[in-house]
Amino acid sequence: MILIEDFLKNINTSTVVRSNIPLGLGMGFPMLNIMGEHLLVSVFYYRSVLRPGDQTLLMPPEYQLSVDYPSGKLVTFTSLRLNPVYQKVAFDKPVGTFRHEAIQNLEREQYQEKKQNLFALMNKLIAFLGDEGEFGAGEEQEMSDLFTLMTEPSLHMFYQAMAPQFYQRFIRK
Amino acid sequence: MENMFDEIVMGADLDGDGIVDSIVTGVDFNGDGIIDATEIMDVQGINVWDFCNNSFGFGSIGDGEGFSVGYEQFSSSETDMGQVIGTPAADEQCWEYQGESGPCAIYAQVMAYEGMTGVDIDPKAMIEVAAEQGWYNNGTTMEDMDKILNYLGAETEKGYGGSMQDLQECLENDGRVVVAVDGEEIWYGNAKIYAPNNPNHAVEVIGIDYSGEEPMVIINDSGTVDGHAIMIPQTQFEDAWEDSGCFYVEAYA
Repeated sequence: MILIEDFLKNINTSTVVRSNIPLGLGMGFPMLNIMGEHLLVSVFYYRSVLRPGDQTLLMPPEYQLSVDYPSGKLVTFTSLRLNPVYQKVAFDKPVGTFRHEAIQNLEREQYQEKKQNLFALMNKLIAFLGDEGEFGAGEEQEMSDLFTLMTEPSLHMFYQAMAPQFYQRFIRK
Repeated sequence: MENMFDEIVMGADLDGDGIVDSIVTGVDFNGDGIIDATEIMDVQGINVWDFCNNSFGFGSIGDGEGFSVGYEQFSSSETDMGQVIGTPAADEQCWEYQGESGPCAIYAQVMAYEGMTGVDIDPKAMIEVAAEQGWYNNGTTMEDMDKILNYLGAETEKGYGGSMQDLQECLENDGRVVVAVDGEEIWYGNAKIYAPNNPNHAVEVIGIDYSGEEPMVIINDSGTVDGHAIMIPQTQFEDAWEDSGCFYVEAYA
């Protein structure tokens, strides 16, 4: 089974990203969708403008793509600026700042560690969806706690639009 | 986790104007194939989209003063120049801060060209050229990282899978090299600031200093206010470079 971390690296170095997504935009957290027998990993790309004092600007996501797991085949690629769903979004204005309040006590290493823990749980879930291993209520709660903690509240609307079922299941307001 | 995805989600055009304005979620609780409950989220008109840019107090791109990464900067008087590849002291003079927007690849190419030729180029003018040509749209893709160099007349070679040996050979042959790296892994030298994601970022490699215990890669980074001739430990540089697939653009005058 390919780990989600490695799958995301493959997305990030894929031809579609290298050819279509400008430097300076980074990947948000992955979300899962199930379409029939296919498991899709969806991500969006957005720019963060680094500033001190937890005032790093978060810009609206500009690109979104879904990739079939584990084949890595591109399923959809969207420029959000050109998608009517987002026509009210001012893409050249920030939507929020980083770090949000819940993680302002996390140093970089702690943030990275929680991200790794989140990915470890996602790997368990992916394995479970493939009829391998277990993913019980405890793991689900833990993953929900981490998703809720780590995802930036000002980007929640974009996560919700990208993967509404997954969002509703794993991110609490 | 049972029935995690026993739901139907579909976009709907409820006002008949041809634009999806809602997401309808249907749930089948008892597995009989009949939707038991539905929820409609109005994506177009709900307050979340109206107010998503309620950026009062956030400022705008360009308002900030930039940030410093706090790395040691190269000094020819503090090293054994016989162990240094490239011309970092001279190339440092070509560095320029790009501001808070996204033209890192433009600036990196301009710095490389200026270092090779001694010709002063206005990076803002090159941004305009790149935008007109379709090579710049709020940023540059990796595939277009050589376009401005070509426009200016430099010969280039680009690819993935670059190595430290490739960088060294290019610099030893009076070439210049621009690479794509994980910006967050380069900038975390200043531990008080880190990014929520890992954007690819373009920097110019202007030298390699082999005089210390660990080789130091010297880069001109237009993305930080102190980004001229900063010294990055080779292992850290390689970790950051690896995230782009070790993408490089070699340029020769």
